[in-house]
Amino acid sequence: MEDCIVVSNLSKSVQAPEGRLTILQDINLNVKHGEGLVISGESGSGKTTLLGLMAGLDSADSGEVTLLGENLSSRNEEQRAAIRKGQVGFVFQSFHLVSGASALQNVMLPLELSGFDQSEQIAQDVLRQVGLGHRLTTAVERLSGGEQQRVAIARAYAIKPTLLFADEPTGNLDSKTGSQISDLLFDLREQAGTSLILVTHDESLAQRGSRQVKMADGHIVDIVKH
Amino acid sequence: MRYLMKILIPRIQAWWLLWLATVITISIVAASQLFTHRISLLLDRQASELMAADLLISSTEPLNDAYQKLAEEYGLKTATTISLRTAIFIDDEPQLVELKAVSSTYPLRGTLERKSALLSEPQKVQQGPAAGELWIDSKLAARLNSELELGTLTLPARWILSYEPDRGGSLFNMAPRLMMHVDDLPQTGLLVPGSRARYRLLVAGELPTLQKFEKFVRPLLSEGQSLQTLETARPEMRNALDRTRKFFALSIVLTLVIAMIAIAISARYAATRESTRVAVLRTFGISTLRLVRYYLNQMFKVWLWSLPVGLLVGYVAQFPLQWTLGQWFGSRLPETDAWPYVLAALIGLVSLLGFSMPHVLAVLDTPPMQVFRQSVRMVSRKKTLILIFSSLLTLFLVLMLIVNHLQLASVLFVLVLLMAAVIPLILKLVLKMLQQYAKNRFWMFQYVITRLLSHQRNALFVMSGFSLTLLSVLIISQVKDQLIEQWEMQLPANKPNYFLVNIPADEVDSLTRFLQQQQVPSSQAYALIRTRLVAINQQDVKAIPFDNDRAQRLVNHVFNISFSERLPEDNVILDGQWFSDMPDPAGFSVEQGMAESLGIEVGDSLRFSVAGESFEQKVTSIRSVVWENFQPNFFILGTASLLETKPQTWLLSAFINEQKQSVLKPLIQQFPTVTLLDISEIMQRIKGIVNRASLALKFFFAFAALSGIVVLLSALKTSNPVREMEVALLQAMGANGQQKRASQVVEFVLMGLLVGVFAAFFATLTSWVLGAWFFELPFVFSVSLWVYSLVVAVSVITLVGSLFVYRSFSVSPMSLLRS
Ligand SMILES: Nc1ncnc2c1ncn2[C@@H]1O[C@H](COP(=O)(O)OP(=O)(O)OP(=O)(O)O)[C@@H](O)[C@H]1O
Ligand SMILES: [Mg+2]
Repeated sequence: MEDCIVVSNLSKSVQAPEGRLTILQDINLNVKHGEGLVISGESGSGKTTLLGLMAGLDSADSGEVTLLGENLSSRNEEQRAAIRKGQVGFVFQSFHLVSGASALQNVMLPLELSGFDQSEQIAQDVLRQVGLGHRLTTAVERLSGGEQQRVAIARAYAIKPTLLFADEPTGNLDSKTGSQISDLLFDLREQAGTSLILVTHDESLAQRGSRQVKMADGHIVDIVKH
Repeated sequence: MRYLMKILIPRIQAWWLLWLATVITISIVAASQLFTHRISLLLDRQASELMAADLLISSTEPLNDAYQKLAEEYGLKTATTISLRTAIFIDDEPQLVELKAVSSTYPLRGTLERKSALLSEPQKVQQGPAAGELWIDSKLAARLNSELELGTLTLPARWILSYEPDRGGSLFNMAPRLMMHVDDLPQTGLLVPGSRARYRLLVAGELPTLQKFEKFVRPLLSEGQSLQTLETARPEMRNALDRTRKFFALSIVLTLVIAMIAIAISARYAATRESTRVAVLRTFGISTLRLVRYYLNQMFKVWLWSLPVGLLVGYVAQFPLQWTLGQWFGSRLPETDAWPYVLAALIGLVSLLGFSMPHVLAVLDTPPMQVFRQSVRMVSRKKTLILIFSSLLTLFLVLMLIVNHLQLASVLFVLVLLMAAVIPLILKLVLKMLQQYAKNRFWMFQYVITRLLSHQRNALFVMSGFSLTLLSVLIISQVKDQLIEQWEMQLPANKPNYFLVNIPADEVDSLTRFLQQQQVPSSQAYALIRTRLVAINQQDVKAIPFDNDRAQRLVNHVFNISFSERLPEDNVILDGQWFSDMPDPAGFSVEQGMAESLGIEVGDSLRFSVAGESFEQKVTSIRSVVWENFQPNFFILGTASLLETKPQTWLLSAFINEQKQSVLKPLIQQFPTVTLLDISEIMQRIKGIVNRASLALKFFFAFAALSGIVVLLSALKTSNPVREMEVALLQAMGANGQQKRASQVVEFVLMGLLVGVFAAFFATLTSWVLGAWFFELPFVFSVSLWVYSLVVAVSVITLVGSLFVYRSFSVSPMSLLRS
């Protein structure tokens, strides 16, 4: 089976006051369908940058990323978004829910953007799955951090994505809530057969992936299979 | 130098919107004060044309040259006139004429019009007859180019005098006019003691000088001399001016309120931006007092820098106004003093400090923790109270400064507060209602509504600001139209455009019959009895110390009283009883304004003298009169039994339309003594004044619109980080460019629609309420108002908003991962 992400010779640098700063250098990595890949490493090692590049949120300086069979390097922002549409979900460290809207509406949003009918029905089902069946119409800013992240997970999984990117999803949560959230992430991944790319500092969370990519200084220093 | 710049210039990035809002506030005050001041001077001057001067001194005795010399020393322009009634012989018949001798400088205000033949076009001239010639009334047109004998002098009648600005002075008692040069008058030998001539000194110039002159001269006046300014002149003109002024004051206050909203919102934006900075400074242990001083300092700089720009804009703004209106006015606006600038600077400072310091103070609460964690800024209850209190105080202070009248300021204050509370509330309710609609989909309608209701947007403020601006513009248009319409509706369908005066008592019946036969609509005929008020409650009026000029003038002048069985049209009895309601009709009915000026109440007794004979009656009613209706109106009405026998002439008003102009000739022939007075001219003038005033007002709302845009920009700036996140999120979810753009643009369109509907709805409502209570106007519904309102609101908000958020579309979705 074809890999859903292929990264080859990827490099990224940014313009810093001290001059050109290389933050990723010569990265080669494949992500298989249904795989649970964890990226870990020290702060500043380039994890977020790599995740963003793989998801097509940013463009590389050199090297190539192939996302779901499409080469990203030759595509602009809008074309990259079109590839993600209906296929890719995100869970962010700081949730990024639409404030003012209800939990239900937040989950309906990606469904409707991707052209699903019955968005309300699907959203309700997914929210029940994440244990928020009783808070459907609550405005998201009234929910606790853990609940908000559940909404975000429901939002990511609602479209039944092929790929799910999560950057420090437990970073803003206490450890107990954090482990509940990671349970949820991996359980759903299992059920939906989604490939998960998860960035984390948390060693115990990292253990749950099928593979762990260790980064330092913009390089992949180790890949561990669990 | 570097250092100087550093201490003088506030940190531009943080404060520029606040600066802009302050500039607008100062400009509005400066421009409005300068302009209204100058306009009202000019309007006065326009009205002055009806006196042919700004001020006049009138006397029954020859006037001492000293007054004229004095006026000239003050740098004022002067002219003299002498008018008297005399008889001349025409075809050996004696004919009563109103002779007026004028100096070469007459008229000082307005123009004369003359014709070379009865049917030729009138030509405007700035000077009266030259020495050695005579201008005659159109009634005497047959005498044109012949020699007329004036006492011992014979003069050729060279022109027909078709318009004379100050002729209305004694509207109802006019024999045909003859006008000559004042130098010729002595040779006629008509000026003898007892000739009852009226000597007038006409004065014109800039208001401050006039006021100085008036102050100086008034105490010097002797008995029989009176000083008349515009204020004491024609009541119908004064009413029109008063309304126009009220209208001005109200509109300018509204404009200003919007500018102040802009200050408050941009201050809030600036303060929010400062919160991180404050947190950092706090971690360095900088005291609150030092921070307060620092921000006061910043505010002061903002004010200092907005001052020159604001005042300059205010000053410059007069020119387009003057230019557009110049064609109308045909004259330069009178100059004014420095007060408008001072007031503008003061109001700028007061509103800046009052509306923005509280926001800054609130930010000083920022915990140092904010440096580490971007927490939601919580403002303590106490600070919120200070904020509200300070804003209210500032608002009241500014209103007081502007209107300078406690009661009016209080009313406006409550009105503004009500609007400030009610407008956002209504808009919020409407949005909440929309939220209940089409709920089974989120994207995109509900998404947009949710965004509009979110606090981060300040959308309610923005919409309120725009709504108020638009509302005000709409109200002005509405009320102006209605104001003019009102006059026309007050008049009966066949509004009178002529007064027929000087009708001998024995010709009244035949004249009314003549008019009926010719199918010319006319009013009831009234007798005119020239009287002088000699005593109130047996006390000689000369001995009563009146505190107002009007009273002084009323008791010094001969005026007309009349009698009527029916209460004249548009008159309302305010106190006492009308004659027909009394078992034994007797007494006088006094007009409200006159009663107030003279301090007369029902039950007081008045003594009048007519041709040396005097009579006394009690006041039995007080009446209100609509002076603008151009019906015969009287200060005093009595009963026929009392006045029938007194020497009198009669008058009536008539409507002689274009098609009926042919009746004029037989009318003049059959009733040679009757004088025709065309009053449509006066109507046109009043209309013109109102039209010009409202045009000027709309100009000010250009400033208000600018304030609205500042409010929008501040709100957009505040919400920009959130907006960028929203766009980034949509992008991460795979939304295409069109969806991204639509999510923002639809938001603006919806805002525009709400604002448009709101403004149109409340303009309709307000103009009805204002009409009913403030201006006494009937209600008129306008469809074009709705169209205009919607189109303007949607296009302005969508355009400005879309241009501004355009940048957000290029934000990288990476920001989602990095925030
Ligand atoms: N736009 C940018 N400008 C300058 N430097 C950047 C930019 N984006 C990333 N960096 C730098 O690149 C390096 C890698 O950043 P990245 O966010 O990928 O690290 P990370 O491994 O996710 O760290 P953390 O665990 O703290 O989230 C960091 O040193 C960061 O400061
Ligand atoms: Mg990171």
